[in-house]
Amino acid sequence: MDYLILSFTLMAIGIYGLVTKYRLLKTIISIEILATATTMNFVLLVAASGQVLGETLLILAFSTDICVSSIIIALLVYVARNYGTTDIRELAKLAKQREDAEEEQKSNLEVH
Amino acid sequence: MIIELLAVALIITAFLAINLENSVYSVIALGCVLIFSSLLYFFKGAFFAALFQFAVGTGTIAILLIVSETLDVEKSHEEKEKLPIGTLIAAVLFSIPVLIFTVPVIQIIPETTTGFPYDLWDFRSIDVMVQGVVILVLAVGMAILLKSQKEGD
Repeated sequence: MDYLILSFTLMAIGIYGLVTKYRLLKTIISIEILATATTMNFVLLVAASGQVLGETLLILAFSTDICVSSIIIALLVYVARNYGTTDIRELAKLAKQREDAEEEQKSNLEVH
Repeated sequence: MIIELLAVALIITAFLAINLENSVYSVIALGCVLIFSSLLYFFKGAFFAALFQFAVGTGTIAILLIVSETLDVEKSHEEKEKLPIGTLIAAVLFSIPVLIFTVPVIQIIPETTTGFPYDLWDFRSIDVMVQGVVILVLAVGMAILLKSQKEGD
């Protein structure tokens, strides 16, 4: 069993989730899986080098991962409450509709 | 044998976390991914990493479960979840290379080795710097969000 191949497989699964899924919660899950894959690589290389410093720096990787996750979850809550959906395609449609409405308002103001 | 089983379970749960339609089940599968990875670190000998992964995983899963339950924008819990056989087969196929192939990793013998707490103390400036960057990013993000919200009102 090889940790490096396991890490790459997990990374592939995470990228697959990021590319194919449109719900924001799935995006968060994919990012978590990607973060797990990179952390696993870190642990493997630390174990190979035999130094404890790597394991110390791993804590920084974990804290950064938590920060990223918390920001994405905050954005998810913000988007879900304001737009009523977490589907990226629907959000793009809503944004386009909003832009069109603003342009129409501007053109109406110019005419008057 | 335990490590191989954990690796296969890790890949299967990762696939399930992405492919399950129900948000709650999906988050539970992600929790299994994090716990299995923690156990793998433990068996690799990285005890501190296993401990932190377990703690981080628990917190993340708790928050994600609350978010997926309270927002409920997709109404996914009303749908009946079917076991995705195709996903399971794909996951098992993906786990075969992990069990069969190996990549040689060069073993580096360090000149000096120190303890975990000493390294944590000696290199604390890196920790402080990274925390500063993270707080700065958070502050900028909050400012942008609040500004856009103000403009929207």
